[in-house]
Amino acid sequence: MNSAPPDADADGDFFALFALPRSFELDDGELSRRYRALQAAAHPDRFAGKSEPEKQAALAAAGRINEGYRTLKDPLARAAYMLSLAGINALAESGAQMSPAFLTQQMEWRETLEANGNDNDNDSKKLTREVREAEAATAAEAAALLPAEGRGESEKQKLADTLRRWQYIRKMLAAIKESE
Amino acid sequence: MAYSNKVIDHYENPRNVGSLDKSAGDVGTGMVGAPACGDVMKLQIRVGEGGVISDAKFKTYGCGSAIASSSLITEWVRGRTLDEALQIKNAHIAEELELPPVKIHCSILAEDAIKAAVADYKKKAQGEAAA
Repeated sequence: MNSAPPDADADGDFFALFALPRSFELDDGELSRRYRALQAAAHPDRFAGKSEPEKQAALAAAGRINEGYRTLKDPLARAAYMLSLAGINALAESGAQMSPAFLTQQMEWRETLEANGNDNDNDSKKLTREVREAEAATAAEAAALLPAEGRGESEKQKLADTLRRWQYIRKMLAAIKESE
Repeated sequence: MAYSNKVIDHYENPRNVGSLDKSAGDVGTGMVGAPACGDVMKLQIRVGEGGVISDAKFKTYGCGSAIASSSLITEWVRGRTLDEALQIKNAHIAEELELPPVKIHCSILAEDAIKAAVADYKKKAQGEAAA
């Protein structure tokens, strides 16, 4: 096995780092296996006796490997990353406005969650199911527009909006979890 | 990050939480959101004679700064005309609440919400005038 750390300054993207195809569909098991192998190769212990620059390079590589793994493992982070490769940072602070209908839906979900409290098991389950279904539908919408590279501007913007809606739904799921 | 006392005060004792009838002709509703943090803010105004805002309500699901910003703006717009309400800028809110730079977007959200509410009211009023 190569003793050099994986190149932290590689121009390649995270897919290249993990030697995976640039695709939204991703083999979770394969990603985890490659993550562990890369992590082992860049582990600081392996560079204990090496020079300072080599240690620094290993540390930077380990950081990039962790960031890459976190990014690719989560479907929303992965989709947002793929869109960023096409030049759009969908989830950054911006003036992007969501449609009033979508925001009204978010508001209604929040109000339902608040009204349900803890003693309304059936209604809570119904809400959870509805939000989870919305997440699955939004993820499918995003998948249909990925990869984003090579697509026209309007499709990229549509994907960006889809990812922002997905982010909202994630927050809603987190709020449901918190209330349990 | 520490919240200022003013943010905490509005957060713990939010003013004017609630809803107005959004289908009423004298009510304008502004619904805005911040995708990056998943915040959603609803701000409603009731407009009386001479275009003066007689009531304002809000509902915000978000962080303390977003709640405080919307609470403060409902206090500020009451008794003001629509044009005066549109003069309120996020910088005024941020200054009053002593918001740190990372929370400035919460005050922008409140400014966007009042603009949206005024626009909604005006659209309704024009529709009625045309009818």
